[in-house]
Amino acid sequence: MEQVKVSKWYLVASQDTIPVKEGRRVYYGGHEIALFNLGGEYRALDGRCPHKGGPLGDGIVAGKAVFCPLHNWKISMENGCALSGGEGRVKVYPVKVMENKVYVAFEEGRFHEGDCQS
Amino acid sequence: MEPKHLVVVGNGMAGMACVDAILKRKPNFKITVLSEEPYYNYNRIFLSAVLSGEKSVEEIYINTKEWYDRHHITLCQGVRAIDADPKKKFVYTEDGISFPYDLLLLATGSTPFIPPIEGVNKKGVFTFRNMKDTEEIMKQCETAKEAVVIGGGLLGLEAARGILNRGVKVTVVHLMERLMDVQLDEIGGQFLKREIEKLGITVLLSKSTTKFFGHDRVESVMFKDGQVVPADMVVMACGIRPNIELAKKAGLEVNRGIVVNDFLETSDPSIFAVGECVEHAGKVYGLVAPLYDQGKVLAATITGDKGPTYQGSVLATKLKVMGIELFSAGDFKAAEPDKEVISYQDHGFGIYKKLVVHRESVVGAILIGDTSDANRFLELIRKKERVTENRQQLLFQKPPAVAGSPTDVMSRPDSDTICGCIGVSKGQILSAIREQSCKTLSQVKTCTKASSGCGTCAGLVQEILMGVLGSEFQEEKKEVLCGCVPFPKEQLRTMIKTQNLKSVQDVLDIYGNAIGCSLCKPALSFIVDEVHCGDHKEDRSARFINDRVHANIQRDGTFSVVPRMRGGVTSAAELRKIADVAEKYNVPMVKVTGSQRLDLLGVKKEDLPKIWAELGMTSGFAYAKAVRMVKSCVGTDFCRYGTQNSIETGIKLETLLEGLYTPAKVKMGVVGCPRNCAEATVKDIGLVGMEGGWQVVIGGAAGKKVRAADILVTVKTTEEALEAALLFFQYYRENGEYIERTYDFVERLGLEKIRRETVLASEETKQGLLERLRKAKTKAVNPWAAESGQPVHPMQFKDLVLPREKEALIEGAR
Repeated sequence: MEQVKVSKWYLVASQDTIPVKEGRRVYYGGHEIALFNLGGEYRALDGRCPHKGGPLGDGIVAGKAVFCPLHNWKISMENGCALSGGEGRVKVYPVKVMENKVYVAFEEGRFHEGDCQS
Repeated sequence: MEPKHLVVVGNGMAGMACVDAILKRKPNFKITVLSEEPYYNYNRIFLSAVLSGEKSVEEIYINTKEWYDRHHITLCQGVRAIDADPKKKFVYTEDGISFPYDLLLLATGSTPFIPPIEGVNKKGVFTFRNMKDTEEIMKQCETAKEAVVIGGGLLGLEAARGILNRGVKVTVVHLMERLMDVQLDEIGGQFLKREIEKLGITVLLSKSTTKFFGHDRVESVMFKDGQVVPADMVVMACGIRPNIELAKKAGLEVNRGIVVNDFLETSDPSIFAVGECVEHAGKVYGLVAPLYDQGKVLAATITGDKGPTYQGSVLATKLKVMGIELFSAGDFKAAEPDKEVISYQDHGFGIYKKLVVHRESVVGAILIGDTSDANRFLELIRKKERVTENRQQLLFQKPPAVAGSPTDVMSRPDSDTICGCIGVSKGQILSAIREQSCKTLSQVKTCTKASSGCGTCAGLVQEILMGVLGSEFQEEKKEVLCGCVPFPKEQLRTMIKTQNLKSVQDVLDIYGNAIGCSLCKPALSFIVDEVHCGDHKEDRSARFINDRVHANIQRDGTFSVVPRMRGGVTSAAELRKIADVAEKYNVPMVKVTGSQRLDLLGVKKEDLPKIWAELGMTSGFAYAKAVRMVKSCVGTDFCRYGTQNSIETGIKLETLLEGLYTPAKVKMGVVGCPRNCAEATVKDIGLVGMEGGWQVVIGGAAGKKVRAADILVTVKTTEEALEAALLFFQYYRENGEYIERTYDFVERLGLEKIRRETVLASEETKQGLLERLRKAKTKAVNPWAAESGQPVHPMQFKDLVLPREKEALIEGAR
């Protein structure tokens, strides 16, 4: 993930809150994101699938992608692009883990710029 | 040295097969191909398969862009060459572009012959020669009602079948007195006519078409005898004519085709020709096999290895019409008195076989209705072997698959041709298997192009694969689980069992890509669970959300709760609890389902365990690939028609099987009489009560597919009926593929096999099935009871809802 200058990190959970290779929906203010524990490493995406708004946090995690539980779109956790199912993209949020705590920068969600195919 | 510039006019099968043969010789050529059609090289033979819907357009490409790029071939599409100057060595196109050449290859093919019939230019009159024609015919079929195909030859019949497949009524009109008169004798013509008519195609023979009626668009067709047939589309299939215009203009020697010698040279030493446009020794060929024979000779000539000569081809035809088998080869007429005929006719089965023997060798053959011997006869004709000794067995030699027998392909010499279309020898296939490690038919096809022509030799190629690879031979991998774990599903089960793999991740690590996907992870979860009868290592992250929270996810991300009501029977107390819960948790909807259950819809994930606890009922598993329900009718308890106690039996069946996971969902029904009120005959397993016994039925469905169940067995007592249901249930658990419903399962395995291995199996086998079922059942739990009080993880039913901003925020410049 490219370096984004983050001014506000939000403490979301302690590191063992989410089981490994699973995700959870995270609600904060107006935000709804999906947070995934890839085993030591965390990733955060917009909470809803670009297809029909399925909750990505409930999806099956496969490598660095998640399958939406509604219609099986595959969304990359690297860039938020739909890898299969159809075309679309969600925002990716910066995440950091510090002293066993997981922080997300809710205000810094970014869509992948440029072509999703490449 | 400067590379020589080879210009090829024509991008069809002949031209590109020849270019392919030329490339194999690695000449120092720069190649330019001028293609009139705006497509890459495709297999023209299969246009009829595209029309009939058996193949897609994508499937018939022989060479794609990648091939042209890889060989640095300049392909000019949509360019029509019209003239050449052999002195200046230039080819000219319609658009006025000139291409200089050192060597010119004419592969201009042929064009449909269009007889001068009045009104032939009306809309709705098509030829059937290229991709564009095919697309136009398919489009017309969408609205057309009645089609007339003019021409009862090979192409006409294939077109007729294709159009019929698209739901249009078809009449085939033929000028001659028998269909396929070029390939069949009189008797053969009669057999074929009957077969064609059986398909529902009308055949009119000895009819000369004189006029097409209609204003702008064709409406009907008139014949010489005055008969008029309505038609809102017409396909002209009256034969083809070699394209010789360019050669003629260039001053080359032409007759019916472009005249070539045995080296495929034209009258100009720098110009060559191949395919349907050439005339060799007075013959013009309109079939595919000669193209390849010619291409190979020409490749030698043009690359400076002049030597091999073309000696003409044995003509062999196979009709590619669904539902009709027809093969014709060589001299089948036996017009001369010194030719002998061996023949067999069976009018009932529509089988006609004829061999023509001349001087102790087979010179021609016709096969209708059964073409399994086509390759054997063609080989006999090609090799001119003496057949006198085994003449009596010629027609009916069942090809024994015994190693070493004369029909065993492995005992044939390497020089034998296996694929007649492309001209691939057994030796070439062997080296593809041995040196390029081809293991499947499609791999051999990619390496050698064998069986990419008419496809008849696919069986022989498979036999060679099996002969060489033995147990290593791989059937086409259609049944692999998915790309992540590229093994056939059945094999996976065995591997998991023998390697004693207990978790999904173990399987993915050892046999897969270590990552998996949303298809294979749940599938493997089921398989490890089933193989180890519940003694596996559960990996919750491999389960679908429904299986993690034991509820069915809805489109808005909420869940539904369906409590188990065995046999569809409930009570006032249960209903009261459901009503209380629905009110307390503001459940937006309570719905009666088609499965005789109540469904609480719109429940929040975090409320699930609380609702379960308050209901105190068992999970209905309405979210899982598992035992869903047993529906029942009221039966003898109340119904005046009832013959069996369906309620009690239904509850019993559901109690015996509830909580068990299955390859796909299992729905069941028990009815007390054949009136079938609980629809048992469209369930995965159904018990149909009747006077004095039960019918146990399986494989029914009333979902995406509607299928009436098959009768597994008829028994006298309720105990026997339940046992039969259990036997089939466990058999399906052990042998069903993941997400394979029983209706596909029953069709895949066949009812007889299932009966043999369940209700008709030995007592030992039956007890084995029942014992494994019992073992799995002891491990089955009601997840609602188990996990409502004690979730498997503190966050099982929880999402993260963060408190207000000030508390959550930390400054994070670090």
